[in-house]
Amino acid sequence: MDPGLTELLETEQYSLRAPAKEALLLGALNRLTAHHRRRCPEYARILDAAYPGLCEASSIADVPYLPVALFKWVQLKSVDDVDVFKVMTSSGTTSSAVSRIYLDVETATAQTRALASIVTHYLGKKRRPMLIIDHPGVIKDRKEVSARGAGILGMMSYGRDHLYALDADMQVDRAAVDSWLASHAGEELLIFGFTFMVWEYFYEILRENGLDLSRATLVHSGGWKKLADRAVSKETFRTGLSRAFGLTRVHDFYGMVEQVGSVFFECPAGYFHPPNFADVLIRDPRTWRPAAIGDKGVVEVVSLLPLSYPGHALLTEDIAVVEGVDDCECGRMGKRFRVNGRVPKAEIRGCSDTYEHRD
Amino acid sequence: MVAATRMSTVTDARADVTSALTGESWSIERFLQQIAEAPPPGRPFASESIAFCEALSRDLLDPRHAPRYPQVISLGYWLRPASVERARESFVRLQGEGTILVPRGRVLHITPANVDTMFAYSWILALLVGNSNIVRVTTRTTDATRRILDATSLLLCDPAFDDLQRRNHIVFTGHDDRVSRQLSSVADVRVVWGGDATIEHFREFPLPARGRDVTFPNRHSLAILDADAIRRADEHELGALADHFFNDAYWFDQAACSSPRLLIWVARHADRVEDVRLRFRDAVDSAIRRRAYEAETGVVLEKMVLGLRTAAAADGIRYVRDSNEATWVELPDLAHYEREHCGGGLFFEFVTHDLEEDLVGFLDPADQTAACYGVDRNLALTLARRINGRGIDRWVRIGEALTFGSVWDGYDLLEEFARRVLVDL
Repeated sequence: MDPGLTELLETEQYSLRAPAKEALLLGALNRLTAHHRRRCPEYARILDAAYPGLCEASSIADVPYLPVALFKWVQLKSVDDVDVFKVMTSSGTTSSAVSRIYLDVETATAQTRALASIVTHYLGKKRRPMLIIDHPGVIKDRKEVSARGAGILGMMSYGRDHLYALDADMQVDRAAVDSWLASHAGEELLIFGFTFMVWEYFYEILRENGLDLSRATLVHSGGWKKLADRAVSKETFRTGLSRAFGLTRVHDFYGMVEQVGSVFFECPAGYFHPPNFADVLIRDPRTWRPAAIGDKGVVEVVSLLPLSYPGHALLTEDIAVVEGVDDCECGRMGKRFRVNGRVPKAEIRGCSDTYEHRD
Repeated sequence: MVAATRMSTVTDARADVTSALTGESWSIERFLQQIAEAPPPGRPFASESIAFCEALSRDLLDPRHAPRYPQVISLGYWLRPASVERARESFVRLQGEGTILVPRGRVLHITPANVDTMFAYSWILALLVGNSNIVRVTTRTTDATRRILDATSLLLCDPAFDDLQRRNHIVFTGHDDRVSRQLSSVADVRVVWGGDATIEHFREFPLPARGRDVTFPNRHSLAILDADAIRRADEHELGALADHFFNDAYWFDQAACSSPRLLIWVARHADRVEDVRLRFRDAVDSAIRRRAYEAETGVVLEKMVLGLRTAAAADGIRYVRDSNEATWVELPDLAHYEREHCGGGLFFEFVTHDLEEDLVGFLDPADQTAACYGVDRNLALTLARRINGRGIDRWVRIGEALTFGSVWDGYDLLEEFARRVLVDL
């Protein structure tokens, strides 16, 4: 493991001010660029093609970045086939192609350690009884893992006595939930699920049920698009859960299968914060230079975790805004940001769409 | 509402077919009944049809109408009497000795969404030959399409165009296979624009035994640029070339089949083209600024992905993102070029020292238009004969890639819309 990464993992999360953190990240990111250039021929060709004469980047913004959708089309891996321990997949939303992320043991271990340092920061070290708002079928195959499955698997180790709240038809099993809650009366609980599933398959079904979840912390993820379509805002979500279940400790998190472990948890003040070993950079889509604080742009995520694939600097298809640096009222250092949605899908009409396909 | 008195004003409960002109809707059965009652086909290049084109042209070119869409202006010019007269002369020449050309009857046009004026060209040619027409247009109507539909709608209300009004229907239909099947069952000619998937889909619906398909599959187009010719061009000439190139590439966001996606630079001997290439890119960049063209962020991301994806496949590729609007991918050979495209200003480039050899080795029937600069007619004729049908149906000057003509994709549409009657007496 890179000494820079080790140091950043061992330092108390969110304790570093931006300038110090960026200096540590930059050195390690440059080492990663060189590492992947040596180990991944496709990545080396991309650097030769797009960054001729590249030397060490002198700022994080100058580190070569790949558009995240590239993982759908190009096999990008920096380890030999025999060392591939797990392949993560995600369909994304822009096309039917699937991203494939190749993990070796070292990267998978780094991801686990990284996630642990973030989760324990928010939930403490003690493992809590964990309610999963999903069905068990979602993690059937552990060698090929979907994004949703990966999220669940990643979080499961921070809980114990897990209960899947849903069956394969997305029906909540009330009796099971009730008896599980009864058996953990008085304990601190962990609830995990995808944002829209928490709302649609759990909240909306059980809201009148008088469940008491005031001792629980909800961690959820997956984006707001589906809920926004139904006019459910972040505020509606928080208020709804608080009123129905007394559930007030709620953390959204922003992350992607292309950088598992490198997640951005939402603080009590409502902002996402990058952990020590990762950062976000908002790029102005006109110039692709870093946007000013307060200005919306396309999110680039950088992380020191990807060793087995060249995913240490990725341009996402998300739009976000950095609201401030080293100044969050929650006390966490570094950037604080909000995600505003996705870059609208390209409107250019192909030759072949006379026949308008049904959505 | 003259139109309303002549057409049924009753809107069926089941709206299978909706007029893009009047907004009326019919069930498919009612619609078919309607067209069965229409007058028989007209004579080729009848005075009524010619007058209609002229009136439509005048409306589309009317300077009082704003905004002026370049593709609408272009259609307006194509409909002018002089241009229609040239089509008539071609048609007369096609008849030859001993045969005459008469309309085929009823033409069903399935028109594309990527080039929003194409429906009009397809329709007008069939109309001029005298056919009755059902023109299916996309429901994702652009402002330019709306402008043409509005002008058409107004003209067809004129009693002078009564027969045309009853024989020509521009319609929206849903995705209903039942409707596509029924419309196909009454078509003497079915023109399917819009690529392979659409063609495959419509092939499921039989035409009458006599009917025939005219299909326009997915195509790919390129530009051939002679490096010496560009080196010799002065600033004025280069600016004009860049403007023409802009029109070819960007009018339909590089999504038209005829828009150049691959640039082939012709260099003499071991001539390097770096200087000319950069000069050309600068000129194109200025043209983009002059027209204030901007690519959407989603398209910019797609171009990055396709460009870098290409770069990952082979050594020696250069990926140059000049701006959001223009990305250039220099290929050392054409072995890894897959003719894939996302539009919006992504250009693959290849330098050849032997145009004939490289073209012959590379071309495929999907290649449609070669927009040329510095390639003379004799060279194009030689190449076309040597290629012998394995690709490139159109050799045109840069700036003319999108200029529609009745000879397109290997067809002469005037002939496709007619049947040939032998008079051997």
